Amino acid sequence: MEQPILSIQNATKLYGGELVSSPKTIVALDRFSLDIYESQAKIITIAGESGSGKTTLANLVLGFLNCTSGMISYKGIDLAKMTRDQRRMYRKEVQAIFQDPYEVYNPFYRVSHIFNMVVRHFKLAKNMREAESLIEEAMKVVGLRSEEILEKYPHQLSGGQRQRVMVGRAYMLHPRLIVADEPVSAVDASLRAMILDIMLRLRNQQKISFLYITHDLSTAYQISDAMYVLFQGTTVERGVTSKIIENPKHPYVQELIDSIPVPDPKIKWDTNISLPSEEEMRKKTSVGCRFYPRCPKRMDICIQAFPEMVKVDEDHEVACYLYQ
Amino acid sequence: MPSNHVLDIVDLNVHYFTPRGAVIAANAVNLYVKQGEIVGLVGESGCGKTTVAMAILQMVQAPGRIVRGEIRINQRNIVNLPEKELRSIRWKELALIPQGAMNSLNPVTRIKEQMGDAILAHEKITPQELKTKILELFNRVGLPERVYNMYPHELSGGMKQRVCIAMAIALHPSVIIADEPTSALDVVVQRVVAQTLIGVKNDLGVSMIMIGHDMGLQAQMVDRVAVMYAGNLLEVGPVGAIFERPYHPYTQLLIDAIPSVKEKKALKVTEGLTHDLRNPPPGCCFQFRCPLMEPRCLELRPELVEMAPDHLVACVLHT
Amino acid sequence: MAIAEKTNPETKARRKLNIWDSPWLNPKFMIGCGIILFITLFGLLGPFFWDTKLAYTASSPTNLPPMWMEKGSPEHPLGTESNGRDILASLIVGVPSSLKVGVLAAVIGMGIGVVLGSIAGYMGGWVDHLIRTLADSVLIIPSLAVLIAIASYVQFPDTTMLALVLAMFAWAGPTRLVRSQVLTLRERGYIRMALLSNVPTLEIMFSEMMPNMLPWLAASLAGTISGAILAATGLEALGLGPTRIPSLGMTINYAMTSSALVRGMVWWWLPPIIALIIIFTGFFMMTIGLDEIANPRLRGYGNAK
Repeated sequence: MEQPILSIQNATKLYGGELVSSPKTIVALDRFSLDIYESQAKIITIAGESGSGKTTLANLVLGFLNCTSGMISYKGIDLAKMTRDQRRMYRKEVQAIFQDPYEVYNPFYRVSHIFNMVVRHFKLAKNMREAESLIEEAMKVVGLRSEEILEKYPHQLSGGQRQRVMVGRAYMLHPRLIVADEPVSAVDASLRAMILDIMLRLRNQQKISFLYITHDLSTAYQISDAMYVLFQGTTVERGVTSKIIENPKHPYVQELIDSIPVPDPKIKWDTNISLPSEEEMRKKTSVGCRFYPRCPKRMDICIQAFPEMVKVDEDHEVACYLYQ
Repeated sequence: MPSNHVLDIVDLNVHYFTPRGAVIAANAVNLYVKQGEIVGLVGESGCGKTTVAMAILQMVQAPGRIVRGEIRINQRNIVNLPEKELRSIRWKELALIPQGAMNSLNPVTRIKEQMGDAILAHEKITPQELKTKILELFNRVGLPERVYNMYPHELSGGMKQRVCIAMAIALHPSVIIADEPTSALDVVVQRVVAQTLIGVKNDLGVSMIMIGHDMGLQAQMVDRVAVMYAGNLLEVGPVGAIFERPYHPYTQLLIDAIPSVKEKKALKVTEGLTHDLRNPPPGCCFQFRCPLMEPRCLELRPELVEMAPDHLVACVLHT
Repeated sequence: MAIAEKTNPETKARRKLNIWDSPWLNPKFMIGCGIILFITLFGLLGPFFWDTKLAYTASSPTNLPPMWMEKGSPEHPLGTESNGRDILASLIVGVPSSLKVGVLAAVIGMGIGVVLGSIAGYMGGWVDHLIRTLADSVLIIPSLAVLIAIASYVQFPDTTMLALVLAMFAWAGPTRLVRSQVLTLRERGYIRMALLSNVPTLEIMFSEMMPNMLPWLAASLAGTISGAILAATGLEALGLGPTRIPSLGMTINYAMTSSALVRGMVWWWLPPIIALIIIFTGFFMMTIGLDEIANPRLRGYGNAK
């Protein structure tokens, strides 16, 4: 039985709860579990709106935050207990691409600084020539020409070019997993395909898995294999992406898919929806389903306890009392 | 000029004079907006749509300048009007919902004061009338009354955006320019905000220019679509016609790029803006990226030609 | 994908103008630098043109008015004072002395401030608490009062001692300011990228954060130097500074104790004050110029969006 290379088990992140400063506990992420196997490279979507916990999950996986409870382990080693050398190995094998392609560049340095930093601190090359050829190769993979890009300053490139350079940087380390936190949200709709295409190629040719974090289900449908939909920290539906999108079970996922603007002027949104005027404050974990205030199909049982995951199809599970 | 046009952009040319040459941000753009319609202005970053919006508001910043053309609001040309007259037009006849509007709210002032300031700058009404008016506006955009006393940071992104919409419609302008009003919002909130804007158009008869780069959203919201690239207007027509029969290859490209949740199709990869806006090549501006490019395209810049009622395209293939 | 950019001579000429785009060539900053350069050269090169021994007591005839007044002589263009010191010579010796105190105190103070502030801002936790409390405690102390107290007890042998004592107080403000800058920069995306690239903490602080703080640090330094010169001059004017070298403050002190004001000897007390005004104006111009450089500018023309 193959062991997962990355294993997230019931990862939970809570904020607040201190007696004096912030008595209200905010549940950023609630018992999230996910396993990634090395043998099958997959693009796994973590979908949700802002406040769903997807960014928290990214920060946990990247080691910027520690879990309040639960565990994340890589190759069997608990992230929170890694030694410095193990951490270094982890940093090499798990990389990231972020949403804002401008912020991630130090405006003081040229674009080449990004690559030089990586080459130096991961000791990827023995000499300058080797380093140069590595960088050259990475640029080719993302479809850019080194001589046009490397000597420029970040503000002289377009958003799409900057983001591609970032992918090139991540690729150069030959990681096993890339956490892509909304990699195309800040790029024009017509240019997103370019970056998504690179991600697909990296999965197919280099066998790199992706954690694709997004709120855009249409791009998720185009490129990802599996999907986890989050709502206010809880996992509401998970499984094979195409099954979830073509046949959404959870009312929240149905609402998400309905809200995607259809590019056909003859088919408009059918009903006007409104968000509840009372923005629900996050309560302690003992309360039931988070979607209750907005759910058109809610029942009394929904606020009593959080619904368990139920299998509705092969590789398709939902956390909703409608299917118990 | 037909009298139901609330906005006419006539031969607009905007240049940015940089030390390294003049960037042609808008090149002979002609566009009109009728009363009670929403016109979508679509294109990638750098295509000139925000420049056009700023030109309409007479807010083009140095080193940019309108070098030629007229902007007519209700048949009145506002280019080169003195600042005092412009101030009376802004907010009253012409309003703006800027990009990232939610970040333009003053974080240390309550909503009631911000809206009050905007309204009182143009109308002399009593405090009681002001409060009634603000609450009425909230109702129209679907905001609860308690927002009146709140600070911006206590509101969600969608609510802040709706506050900006309320401010824009406060003085019943003829035209509202919405510059990517939903770009930073989640898909469900985006729908709520979009529906609010459509509601505003239907109830108040306000005309709008909806600037964006997402064709899917345009299909849901606008009556007519105008497609821009590198400062040039390439195609303009009724939204149904544009989606059913796009004439310009670029329009086709934009439509193809929309990922669908109904069927899995191959990703259509396309390169971004390829030429330097300081040195536009002779001929069609789209020549470097056009899949249907011919030698004719390098010679003359194509003019807008009417292919069907109200549907114009600037392409060598359709002259 | 070819980029259609012609490289004819006209374009090349326009590209040369590029260096004038550099943000460091801010007019206010340049003027400020110019003033400071001028006054520094005045002090450094002065001894080659004028006999500085005339700055010492009883070296010249006493109470000579400047040369444009009657009884003045071109041998002492700015006149002399009642102890037989030539005013011009006093300036030539005094200006570098004041500058030296200011620069030394500020450099040491800012140096400590940058190190402590960076550590506090980056590390957070109890280290931050400790450094912050220390800095706050020093800030609260009324430094001039304490300096006067110290100066009354201890006779400063030379300007270096004075500078060191001033540095003891000068570090607290920069520490707090650098700390807040570091706190801001720490959240930037490129710092995260550096963390993901396995860059060690020290290198993050100095290679990634520091270059982005440079204009701001320079402005802070200019301000701190001004502050140190002001404090030093204040002490000297009260007669508490080192007495061997006739610094600007000492000259003012002598002028006051010899009732130069009442005696109408404008040429005694005015020149050092004018020299100080020039110095402060120079640093002030530098500071506001650097403020303009440091603040996020409108994005450049090559940007998309």
